[in-house]
Amino acid sequence: MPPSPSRIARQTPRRVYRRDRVAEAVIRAGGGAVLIAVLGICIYLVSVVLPLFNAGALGARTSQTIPDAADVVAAQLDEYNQAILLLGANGDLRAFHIASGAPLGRFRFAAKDQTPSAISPWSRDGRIALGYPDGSIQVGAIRFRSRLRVPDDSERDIPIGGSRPAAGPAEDGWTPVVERVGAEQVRETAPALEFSQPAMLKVGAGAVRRIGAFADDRSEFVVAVREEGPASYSLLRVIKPLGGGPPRLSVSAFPFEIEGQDHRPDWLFVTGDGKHVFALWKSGLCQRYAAANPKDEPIALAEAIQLSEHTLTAATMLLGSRTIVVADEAGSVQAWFAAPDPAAGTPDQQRLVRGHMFTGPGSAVTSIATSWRDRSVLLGDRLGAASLRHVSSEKSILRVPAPTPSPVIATAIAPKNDAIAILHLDGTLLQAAYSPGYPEITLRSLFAPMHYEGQPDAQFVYQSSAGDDAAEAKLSLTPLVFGTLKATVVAMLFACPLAVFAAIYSSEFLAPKLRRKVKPAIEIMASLPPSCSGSSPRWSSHPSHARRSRPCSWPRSYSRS
Amino acid sequence: MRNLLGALLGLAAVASTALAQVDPVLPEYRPAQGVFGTLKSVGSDTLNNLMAHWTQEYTKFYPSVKPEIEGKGSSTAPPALIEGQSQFGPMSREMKSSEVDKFEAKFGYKPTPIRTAIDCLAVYVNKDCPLDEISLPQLAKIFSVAGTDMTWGDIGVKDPAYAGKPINLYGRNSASGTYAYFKEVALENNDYKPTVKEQPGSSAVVQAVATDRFGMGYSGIGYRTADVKPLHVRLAEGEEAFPPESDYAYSGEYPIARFLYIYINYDARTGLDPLRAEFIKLVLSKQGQEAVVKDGYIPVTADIVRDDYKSLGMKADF
Repeated sequence: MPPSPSRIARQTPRRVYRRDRVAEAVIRAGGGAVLIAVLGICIYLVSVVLPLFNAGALGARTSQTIPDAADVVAAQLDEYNQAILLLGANGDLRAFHIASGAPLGRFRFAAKDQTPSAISPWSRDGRIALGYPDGSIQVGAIRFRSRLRVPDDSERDIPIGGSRPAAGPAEDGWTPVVERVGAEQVRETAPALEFSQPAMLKVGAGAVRRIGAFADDRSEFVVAVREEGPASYSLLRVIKPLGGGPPRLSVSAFPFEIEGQDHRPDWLFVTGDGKHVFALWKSGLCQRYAAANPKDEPIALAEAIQLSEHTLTAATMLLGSRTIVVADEAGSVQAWFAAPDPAAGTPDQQRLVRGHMFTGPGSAVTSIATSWRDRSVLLGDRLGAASLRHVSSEKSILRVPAPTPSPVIATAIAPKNDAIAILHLDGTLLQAAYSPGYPEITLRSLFAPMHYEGQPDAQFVYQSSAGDDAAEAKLSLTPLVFGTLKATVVAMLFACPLAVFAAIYSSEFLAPKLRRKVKPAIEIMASLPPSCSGSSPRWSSHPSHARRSRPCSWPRSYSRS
Repeated sequence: MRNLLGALLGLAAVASTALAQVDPVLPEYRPAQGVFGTLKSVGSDTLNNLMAHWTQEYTKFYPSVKPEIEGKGSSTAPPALIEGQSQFGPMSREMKSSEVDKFEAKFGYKPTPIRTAIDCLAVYVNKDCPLDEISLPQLAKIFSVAGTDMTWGDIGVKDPAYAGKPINLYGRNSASGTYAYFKEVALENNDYKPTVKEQPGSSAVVQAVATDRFGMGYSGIGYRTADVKPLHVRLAEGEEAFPPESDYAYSGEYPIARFLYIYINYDARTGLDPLRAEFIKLVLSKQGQEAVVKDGYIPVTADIVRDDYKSLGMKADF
C-alpha cells in the first residue's frame, strides 16, 4: 500500500519544534545532572574508602624520666591515659602520673617476704600470674579503676581536661589521679589489685622458674615449672550463679614433664582454650604440649620445632591467647599458632604453623606489648625505636623514632587503642596519643587469601562479627563478590529464557492493539532501576508500612538491607 | 498478628515444664505521674517478645506513651543508643569493650546495663531426635570450623536412621547477640562453619529445626515450641549435663545461661527522665517479671534488681 499523500504533504507546526527544543534542553540538563551526580558519588566513595588504607597518626606526646627504671619488665596505661603502672622483675609495682611524672604509690608483691621468682606477661584486663621462691603461685589482675564524681572545692581550680594527683593517698596506699572532665564532674583513676592467696604447687621442688597463665571470667589456666621435677598445668573453672551469690570454683591440676634442654624453658604459655601449652627457649626451640583433655589423656609433647635460627629476644601472646608472637636477634617478628592438620602426624592432629612474619622497628626487638582491643602489637627495639603493627593484616600503623639510643625495656598499648607508652633503659618514658585508623584493612586483607589464627593455610574468609574483641575479624570481600556473582548467574538462568520468550511473544504474536499498551509499559519498567521495582514487595509487607503488625517486627530478613 | 503472637507465647509457656517463680520480694508496679512521649527501643531479637509485652503493659498505665520497638539484633543496639535514636538498647549479650569505647567517646561515661531476665540459651533438635545431651566441646566441633563436618553418629547417636546422616545446622544472623554469645562461649571464638544456615530470627531457627528431622539449632529458651527438644548441656566431657531450667540457670550449672540486658544512657549528673525510670521500674517489678515467666524466660532475683537499681541511682525499698 502506498503511503497516504496527506501525511507527506503535512507541515509540522512550529509549536512542535518548540516543544522538541524544550524537551531536548530538559533531557540534556537532566542527563548532565545525572552524570555530575554519578561523578559526585564516585568522588564521595573514593574519599570514604581511601582513608581506610591510611596508616595511623601520632598525636600529643609527653616525656618523663622515671627513676630506677632498669628493673622494669612490663607497663600498663589506664583507659584515660592519665597514669602508668610499671612492674619490676622482683615484683615491685609502681604507678606514676603521666602529665607530671609524680609517683602515685608503690606495692611489693611477696609471699613469706620473698619477692616473685617468675612473672607471666601482662595480658588483657591486667591479668597476670606470679610465682614465688617457695613454690607458691598467685593469680589475679593489676589494673586501673576509674569513677566519676562531683569535684570538691579544692579540685575546682583544675582546668577542664587537666589532671593532677589527689592531695593524699587513699586507704589502699595509692594516690588517685583526679581528672577534670566537666564543669561539675571529675574522674578519679587509681590502680586496683585483685589477687588470690598464694597457693602451693603440688608438684616439683624449689622456686617457681617460669609461669604462664590465661584467665577470663569463666576459666583460668596456669602452667608453671619449678627448679626441680615436673611442670604443673592447672585449670580453674569459675561457675557464676546467675541468681546471685559468690562464684563457685572447681580446680584441677595435672603434672606433666617438659622434655629436653634442661627441662626449664625461657617462656611458658597456655592458650586461651587451655588446649595447648607452649614452651619456648631463647635458642629458638618451641615445644607444643597437647592439653585438650588432661583428665583422660595425660599432657604430652605433641611437637617440637625451631621457630628461628637466631636467638629469641622477646615472646608474648596476642589478644585471645591463641597466637604466640616471638621476636629474634635479627629483628624479625613471627606469629605462630596451632592449626588442625590431619596429616601432621601429631597425636592431636594439630600442627604449629607460622601465620605471619614481618620486620620490627629495625634491630632486635626487646619488648612486645599487645593490645586489649585488637591484634595490634607494639614492638620496642634495642636501639630505642618502636613500631606498632597489626598482626593479622601485617599493616604498619605507626613508627616511633628513638628519642634516646637506650634500649626499650617495656611497652604498653592503652586499653582503648588510643595511646602508647615506651620505657627505655635510661628511664625515658614516652607516652603518645595516636589514632589507629583502620589497622585491619589492607588491599590484601580485603581481596587476597589471608592466614588467620587457627587455620592451616591462607584462605578467603568473611566473618566479621563476634561477641568478644578477642575474636579475629575476617574481612575478605572475595567470598562476598563471588556470592553475588553466583546469585546473579542463578537468577539469569531463570530470567534470560523468560525474558527472551516474553520479548519474542510480545513482538511477534501479541495482538497489535494489546502490544501498543504492553510495549511502552515494559520500556518504562526497564527504565526504572531494579532496586526500586524490587523493593515494592518490601514496601507492601514491611512492618513499618503495615502499622497493624506492631509491635511485632516479623520480616527480620530485611534487617541488613 | 497479635493473636498469632499470643498463641505462640501460649505454646511456649505450656511447653516449658518447670515454670520459674517470680521472686516474691519484688514489688508490684505502681504508676507515677508525668510519663509521656515516645518510647524507642532498638536491639535484640531474643528480647523482642519481652519488650512487646513490657511496652504493652506500660501503655496500659500510660496511654499517651507511643512505643516504637525494633528487634533486628543486639549489634544494632549500641549504634542506636550512641546516635540517640533509642532510649533502650535490649541486648542478649554484653556490650563489647569496643562498643563501650564508642559510647564513652561520645558521652564521657559508660552505658549502664540493666539485667532484665535470664535466658538458658538452648540447643534445639527435632522432637523425634533420639539425642538428649551434648557437651560444649561437641558443640564447638559441630558448629565451628574447629571440627570437620559431623554426622549424628559422630556425637553418639546409635539409631540407624540417624547415625549416618549429617547434622543440618541452623543459627542466627551475624547482627544477633545470640550468634555472638554462642560463638564466644560455646565455640571458644572459633568461626562458624559456612554450612550453618543463618536464619533471620530466633523463631525461624526453632521453626527450621521443627521441620527438619536432622536439624540442630540454637535460640533463646523463650522460643521453645512443642515440636523441638532442647538438649541438656554439659560444660565438658565427663561432667553432668543440665537441662535448660531455672534452677540450673540460677546456680550457673547450665553452662550457656546468660542475662538478657537492656542498656541505657544513664548520666549520673542528670538522672533518668520519668519515661525511662518508670519503664525500668515496671520491667523489674512483679508484673514485669511475670511477663518474663510467661515468655518462657527466667526472672531475675531481688538481689540483682537491688544492684541494678543502685547502678541507676534509684532507691530500692524492698
